[in-house]
Amino acid sequence: VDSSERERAERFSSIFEENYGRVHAYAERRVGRDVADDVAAETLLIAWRRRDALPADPLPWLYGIARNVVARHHHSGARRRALRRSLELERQGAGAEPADDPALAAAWAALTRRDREVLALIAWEELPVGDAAKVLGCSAPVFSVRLHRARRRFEAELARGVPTARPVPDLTEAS
Amino acid sequence: MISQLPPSLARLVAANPVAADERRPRAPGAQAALARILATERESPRRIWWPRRRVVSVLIIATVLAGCGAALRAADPFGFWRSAAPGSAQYGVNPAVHVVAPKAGEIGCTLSGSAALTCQPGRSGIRYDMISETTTAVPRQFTRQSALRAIATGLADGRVSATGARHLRADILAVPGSFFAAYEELGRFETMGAGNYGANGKQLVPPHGIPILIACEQLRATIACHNLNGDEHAPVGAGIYAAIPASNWISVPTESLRAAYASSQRLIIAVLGHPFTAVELRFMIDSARYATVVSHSGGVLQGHSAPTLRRTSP
Repeated sequence: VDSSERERAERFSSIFEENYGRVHAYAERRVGRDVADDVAAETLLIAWRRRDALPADPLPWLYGIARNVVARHHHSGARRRALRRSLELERQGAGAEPADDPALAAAWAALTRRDREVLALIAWEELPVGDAAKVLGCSAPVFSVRLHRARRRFEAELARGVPTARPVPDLTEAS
Repeated sequence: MISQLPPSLARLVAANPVAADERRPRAPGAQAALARILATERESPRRIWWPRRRVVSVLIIATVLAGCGAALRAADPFGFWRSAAPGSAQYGVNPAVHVVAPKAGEIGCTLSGSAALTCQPGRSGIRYDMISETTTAVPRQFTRQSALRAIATGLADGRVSATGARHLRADILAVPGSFFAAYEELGRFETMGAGNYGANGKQLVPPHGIPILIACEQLRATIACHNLNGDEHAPVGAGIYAAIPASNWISVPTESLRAAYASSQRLIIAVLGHPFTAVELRFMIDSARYATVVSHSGGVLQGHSAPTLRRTSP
């Protein structure tokens, strides 16, 4: 039994090594750096407690757990208020916005959180559609429809242009 | 995969604000988290009572790093105790002083001294909203005997494993008696960040002179507040309010982890008079492994009578 537990611990350490950075980045984009440490640690702790259910490719599963942990943080007392402020900043373009591209940031800020999540799973978590669908707990075809709609809205916002308060850089090269 | 994406998504990929850092799993904080995780019993989320997880983990990280650097000794033990990072506050809670937090969620304040503010709900001025309250993280009179009793109770009701109890008992018997008072003292201190993170390691903070976090108490008709950063004796129960971002806020780099560790290390030396010894370090690590408290609010004050409401500090 000890030997089996040791093997599991070694396997989990290797999973931790391979995935902690990605889970942390996922969390940091959504809740900021300080809370990201807690979210990443809690996500891996939950994964360890459910280690019998660890899939062969654990990353989408870990993102799914992290998503729930982030949601719990959104709903918890004082942290909720702190997060609300950070989300307000996000909407204003000062939070976890796309870096160094004000036009993109403005379009991003205009999307719903659900659209952002769908797009982020593909663009920032770099998941294939099938894995992104697992994170959200839906089928790949359903996710594809959501992605298509989110992308259409995102492109509409991009086409709409940036608010007058923001500088309008030449994005020809960037795009 | 990126080459197959439509242009709008490819542009989004290029603008990723937080790239995954492959070195992060090997950072001391992540390794400490892994050690805690592997030590966690399956299906046993409730753990024996112990001081706050965050405090313990920060101290362990600080101690691990201290092994690589020269020990610092502060001439004025707590003179350093003020966060140099404009987005956070470091403070100590005085468990003997209790006040009533204001009920108002959002207040407007004016500076009435170098660290004091006068505030009212609905008033103009610098706007703050409540994010938390000051609480005591460690019960008073944490002694070798009380720690051994806590382990016995935890073992009896299944909150700590036999292995964990054995390690903790050995650690408790190995550390000097003076360590318990120091540990209790360390538990008074807390670092709180106000958030407001932006992209590329930047953070929004108020202009110089405006505190980002303040502690407030309800007086008869007014709300008295002061800068939380550097307050070594913040009363229990004070409302902690964070400044609400405004157009005059500035973007600064977030505090580096190394600076945060250095600050924790200075605190350890100020309280203990020296960096952790080997037995003290083992105590800290085993505390994190076997005695992590799960709830930040429940059970922390178990066994303590309700405090008398009073204000003793001038």
